[in-house]
Amino acid sequence: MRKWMQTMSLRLNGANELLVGVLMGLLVLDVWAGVLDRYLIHWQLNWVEELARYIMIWAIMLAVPCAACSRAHIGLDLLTRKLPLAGQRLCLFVADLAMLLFFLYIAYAGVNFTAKGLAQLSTVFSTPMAFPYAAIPVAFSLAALQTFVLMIAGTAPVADEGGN
Amino acid sequence: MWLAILILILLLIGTPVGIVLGVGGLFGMYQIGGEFFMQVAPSKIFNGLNIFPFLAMPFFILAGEIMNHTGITQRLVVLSEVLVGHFRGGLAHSNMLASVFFSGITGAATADAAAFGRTLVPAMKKQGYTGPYACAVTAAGSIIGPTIPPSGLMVVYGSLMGVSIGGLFATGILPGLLVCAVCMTIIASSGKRKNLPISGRRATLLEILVAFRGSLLALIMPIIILGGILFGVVTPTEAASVAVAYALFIGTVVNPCMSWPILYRMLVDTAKLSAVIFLIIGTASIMGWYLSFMQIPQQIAALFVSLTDDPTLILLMIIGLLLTIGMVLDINAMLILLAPLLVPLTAEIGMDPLHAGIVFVLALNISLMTPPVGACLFVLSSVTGERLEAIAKELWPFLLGELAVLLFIAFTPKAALFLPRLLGF
Repeated sequence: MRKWMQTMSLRLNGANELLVGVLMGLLVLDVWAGVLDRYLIHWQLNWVEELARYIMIWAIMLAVPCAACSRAHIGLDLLTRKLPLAGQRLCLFVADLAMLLFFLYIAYAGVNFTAKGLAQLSTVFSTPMAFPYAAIPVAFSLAALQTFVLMIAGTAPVADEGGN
Repeated sequence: MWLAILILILLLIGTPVGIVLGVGGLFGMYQIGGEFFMQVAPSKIFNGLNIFPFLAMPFFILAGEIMNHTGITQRLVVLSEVLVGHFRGGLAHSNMLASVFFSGITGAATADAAAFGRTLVPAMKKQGYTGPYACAVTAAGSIIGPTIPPSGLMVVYGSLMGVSIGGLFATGILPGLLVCAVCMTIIASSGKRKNLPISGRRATLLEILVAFRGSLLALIMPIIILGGILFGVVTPTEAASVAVAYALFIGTVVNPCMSWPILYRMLVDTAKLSAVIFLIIGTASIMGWYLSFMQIPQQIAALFVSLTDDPTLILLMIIGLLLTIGMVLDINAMLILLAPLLVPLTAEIGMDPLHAGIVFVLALNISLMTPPVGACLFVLSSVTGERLEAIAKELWPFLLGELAVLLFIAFTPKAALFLPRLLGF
């Protein structure tokens, strides 16, 4: 069961990263298009900035679960690293639980937030704001899922993970 | 009160800073208006991040990653070695100088500290420096990068407080160079006493020219980034995207080493690094909303003003507060939480917004290397295996020197604002 969860989590993360990578690529291309347009072609593309903001939010929010997966969201371990192993595990568990609950709540509240966005239109595209808003519930439910798997399947405290 | 205890406990058990702020903010919202208020949280996160200039951050990170991969940044280290390597404590001096050269490419202190900790610290140890001293020099130098533009922190500050990011960039150059000069003076003055190694002969003019030519492509990058922004031709986001294009050009045409898989990995890693920062910014926005709802900014301002009405003392109190809280909290979170509290106060005592901005950024950067919990110290300690306490002991002279630079910048607005005024900000 544990093994199966880890494999599924890794596969999910792989797909998640692929999406993040593609969106980041699009983001770079979009801003390049904006620069080319402003200084060379002068087509007055008015959608570049809005599109860039929404892709950025989707790309970077979707990277939150990837970062959770590799424990890249770091906290202070000044105190916990001095505790005995059992204490370290307990701290890690409570910290993970706080993270899980936070992700879950934002995912839940994010659904309502997105639903409200169905009625609002974006300035340039005039599409519902629900499209960019949806990044929040999607990313945070994925992050909650990954944190949950991490809590169940990977329990060893990571003492020397520092840096990136 | 309960909120403060909750935040403290979560911080101490090692909960990621972004989560601490988020949970704390939600708890605060619940206290005010129950579940109904908590529902506002997702929109706070979204609006906290829906800011075009923020795009500059991931792009600067990406450009730096690509430049590192091309190996061109390594040549900057060589260049600084041929320039100052022959003095006593040569490698310590070149460590500082390399921080200045690197600063135009990267914008995050902890990343610089990690990179130098892996490369320069072992090299210094091999030459006979003690490990803690090598780490202390690296930690002291690591704040030069985010002080000299481009700097992620300045992007956040400028976007949030409505201050020109280009202007902040221009203001950062002088303090960055001053920090370098002061630290090099400290190295030179303690060189004999500490018996720092001398690495060898002075490089010939030819060697210097060769090293210069080798690193020319890397030296041009900051000129492209800064030149465009400082002369108001491009926005920081555009400049950052051009920097990515330039780095890619070097990585594919000049010094071919990029491939699709490598680029993909870099894009994902950049997004992950940014995600950690963006989560903190997003959740700090929740917390910030709570603070402003409770009118904490006004209360703190009133408290400060009730203690004294002397502008000098108020400024000193602000700096003290930034340095203290910066020791425990992430600096991006600090900016979002504290800038709205403190910047109005700086306006009240008649400080220019750019001047206040650089004091903020410099103080927060210094707090990154302040014992006991500065992030740069942690990164260095974990990368090199040196003990934190030992590094901290060697760090004091540098820390005092950098505080002196901070106070100089804070109390001589003419000097601090000379460059930005010259460039028309």
